[in-house]
Amino acid sequence: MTRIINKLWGRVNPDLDDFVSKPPYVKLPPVDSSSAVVVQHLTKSYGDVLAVCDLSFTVPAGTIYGLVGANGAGKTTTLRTLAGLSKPTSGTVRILDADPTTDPLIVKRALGFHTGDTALWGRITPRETLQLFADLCEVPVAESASRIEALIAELELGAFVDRRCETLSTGQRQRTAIARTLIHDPAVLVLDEPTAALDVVAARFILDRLRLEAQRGKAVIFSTHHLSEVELVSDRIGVIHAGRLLAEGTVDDLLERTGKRSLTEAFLALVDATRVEDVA
Amino acid sequence: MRPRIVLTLWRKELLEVVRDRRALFLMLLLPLLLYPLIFLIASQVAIEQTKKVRATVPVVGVGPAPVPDALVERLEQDGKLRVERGELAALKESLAQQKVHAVVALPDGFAGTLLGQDTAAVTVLFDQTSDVSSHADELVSTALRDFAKAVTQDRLDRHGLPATIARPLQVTSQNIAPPEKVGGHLLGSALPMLVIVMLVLGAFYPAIEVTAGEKERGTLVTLLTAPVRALEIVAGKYLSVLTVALVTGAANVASIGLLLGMAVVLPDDLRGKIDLGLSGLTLFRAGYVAVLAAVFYAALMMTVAVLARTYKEAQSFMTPVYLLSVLPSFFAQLPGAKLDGTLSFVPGVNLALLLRHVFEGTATAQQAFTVTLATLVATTLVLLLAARIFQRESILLGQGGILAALASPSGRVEPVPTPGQALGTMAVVFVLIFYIGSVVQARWLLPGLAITQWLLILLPVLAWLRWQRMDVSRALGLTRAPWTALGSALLLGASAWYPVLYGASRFLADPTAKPPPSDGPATDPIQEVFQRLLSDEVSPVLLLLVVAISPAICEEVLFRGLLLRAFLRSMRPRVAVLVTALLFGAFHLSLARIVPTAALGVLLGLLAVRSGSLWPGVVFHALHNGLSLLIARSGRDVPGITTDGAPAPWQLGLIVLMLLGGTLLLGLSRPTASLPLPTTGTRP
Repeated sequence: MTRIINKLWGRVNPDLDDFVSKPPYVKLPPVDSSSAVVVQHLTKSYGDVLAVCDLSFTVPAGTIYGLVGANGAGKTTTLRTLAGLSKPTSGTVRILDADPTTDPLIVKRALGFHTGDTALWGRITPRETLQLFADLCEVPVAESASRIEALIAELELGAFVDRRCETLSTGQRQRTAIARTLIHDPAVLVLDEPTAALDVVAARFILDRLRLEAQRGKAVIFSTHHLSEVELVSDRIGVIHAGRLLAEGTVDDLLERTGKRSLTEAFLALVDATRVEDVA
Repeated sequence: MRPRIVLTLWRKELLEVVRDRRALFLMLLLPLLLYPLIFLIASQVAIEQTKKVRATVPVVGVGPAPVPDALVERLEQDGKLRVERGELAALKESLAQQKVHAVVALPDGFAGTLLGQDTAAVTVLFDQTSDVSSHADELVSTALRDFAKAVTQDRLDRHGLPATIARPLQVTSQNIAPPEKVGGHLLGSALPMLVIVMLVLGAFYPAIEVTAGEKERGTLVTLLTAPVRALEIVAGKYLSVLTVALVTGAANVASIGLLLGMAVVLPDDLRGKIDLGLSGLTLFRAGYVAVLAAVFYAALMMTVAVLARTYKEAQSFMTPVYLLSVLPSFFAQLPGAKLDGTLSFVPGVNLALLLRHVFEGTATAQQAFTVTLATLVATTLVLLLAARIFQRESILLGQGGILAALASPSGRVEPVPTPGQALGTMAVVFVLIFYIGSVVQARWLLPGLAITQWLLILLPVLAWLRWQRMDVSRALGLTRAPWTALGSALLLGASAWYPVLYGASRFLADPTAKPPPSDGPATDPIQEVFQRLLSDEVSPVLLLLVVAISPAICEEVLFRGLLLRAFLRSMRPRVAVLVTALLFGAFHLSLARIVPTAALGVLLGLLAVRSGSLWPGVVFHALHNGLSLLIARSGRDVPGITTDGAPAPWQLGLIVLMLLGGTLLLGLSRPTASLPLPTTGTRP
């Protein structure tokens, strides 16, 4: 029955197989399966649209992985798949050896996920938001009060913690959203554009925070389109364009591979290479 | 499902609603304003109208000449009327032009007739479409009656007779229900409908807010990053919508109550108008129906809103639902609309009809029970659908078509059904029985029962398990049972009918269902079926096959197989047994038998849990049903059940059998040994 309905309603891209079978543009390093985050051959399509194609990378504990790409490159889709909000069309994702598709609760307990649009409930205060997530993550009652106070102090939420979220500035919301992802002390932090729409000072505050969390042993993965940011804090970088991972490695790796002097030039060179290939 | 998580989500949703002025206005302020306004405006309009009419002095034309002066004097007596004399044709013309408000047409020789002994036929012409004219008619008629009295007195005086000769009787009627109160009763039956419509209106906004609203603002994704199950989110959100609906309903009722309280200080002519003329019990019953309505409509509205991607889309989706909540009310007002048969299972319509019966004072407990059950089944189905939609990422993230997303199979293959899946399957089975089973049984009883059991209960369960590619024998517990369990099932099955029938006899006149002595209708559905079965000449073998063997297999597969084993995944065994037993009791659609049937369900559940197998339950169920049937068929009296009196020695023997069976059951050494107990997080 489902199969019939699927045939009637689902539109499968006939070219999908060709896409998937194409070799990656840059040879990827072998995947270390003991890492906190392991993504292998991840492909995701929405109807006719191929959002992510054959993505593989790992993030060991205690390191920061920066996912760089233009708008619409597939960053958000990739990160949502890590959190189990999106199911892979093919390929696998493992967070601390658990699969977000089959064990969403185990994965979500281990994961702090910061959504791209920092959507917070407007009529609820930051303090109440933190309490809500502490309760939903089943943080023991004895611990939750002290954890909330600690996060308020560390992320400097004190000035607005009892005001409704709808009255907060973008930077204040961003800090609240990050405090929310940290409330259950997750082993893996996934942040979708945590510095978007922030000024330099506010962005720097967030990035320093990510560095600190990595030093505390968390595996951190974040996406951005600011190349300077990844350069600043990332241990490894993945360059993503049109759903494909073009290159992966440390900043030095990428500079060496492309023969460029700055990361921006390297990024543009990688993107240009795909254009040439498309035309050819 | 974790209750604490559900409560946390419920609290969060309510906090948002409470801090939202728009929602608060709809929920609390609107009803508080609405009713006083309705009553005040209505009564003010009435008062103003009356005042206006009374302020003008109507002109009454009298003709043709000669008009006795005494008549004119009587008409103009209190200054309430002004008389204009003239010819009839001219006066009628003036009446049509509203220059004159009423015309008194006198017969020829009117003055002479008055002095004689005959009756003079006087006609009063007026225009009913004009308030002033109607008022004039009232005044003229009163004045003419007074005039007639005076003429009578005159005539009697002339003949020297006492006044009492023309008044052989003095009749006074006293209406204990004033006309306002009759109207009040009509108003009273309209109000609960209004309350239902209002609580649907109250839930309208939060239902959208917690679903499509959250989607549009992107906060739903934020919530989904928390380690919470879809069913928990749906439950928390549903509870908040239900709470708002109930609070709105309560605010409406409170507002009406406040108004009634105010009636004490109101002037007399207003007080009568808002007396509802309803008893407390009727209001309580109506309140119960309103709560059921809230339970159902809150679920329906939220589920429809889940489908929408934006606030606007949700509003357009909701309008039909809103209409759907109003339409049954009109349907229920149709003459001859009655709550019976299939209508009891049509959500919405059954509530409206039950409400009508409540106001007519004809609602029965069995009707309330059936409607409650049907409403709960419909609500469960609707909520499970909402949870299913919630698991569809394309709908959650606002992409793709609704139908495509609904049709795609869920990602994870469960080895054994989850409680939600089992409940959903049971709800589908219930719906099949309500709509198809009741019809086929009404047409052909015995084949109908067989069809219900095998095609409407067993087949859907097996088909669903196959569709989900689950291991049928593991899902249902088709494993070999220990001999002690089978022995216990035999002993209990041979004896348990006695306490069960005894229990039922406390509620029913004759549970073994010999034809009722007074030929009255049986109120209990099971008794009715039994009576019809026994009144036909059917071979006992066939009867046993349909009434004992079939339910033993099919009902056990549904209850002790699918449901109990699914519940055991997330509940403690004793809770799972109890919940299954209650569902089993409710399934039999008989209020009077719910306690004994549920008790039977507990025994069956214990057998299944203790043995880890479905088979002892099947043996017990078959023996139990078979013996009950044979006893009813034999028509023998059973002391303590069909007749009063002390139990016979063989009945005490049954008790001993039961105790033996119970001891064997409790002595089983491997409780829950082969049951599926993986909760969450099973990995291949």
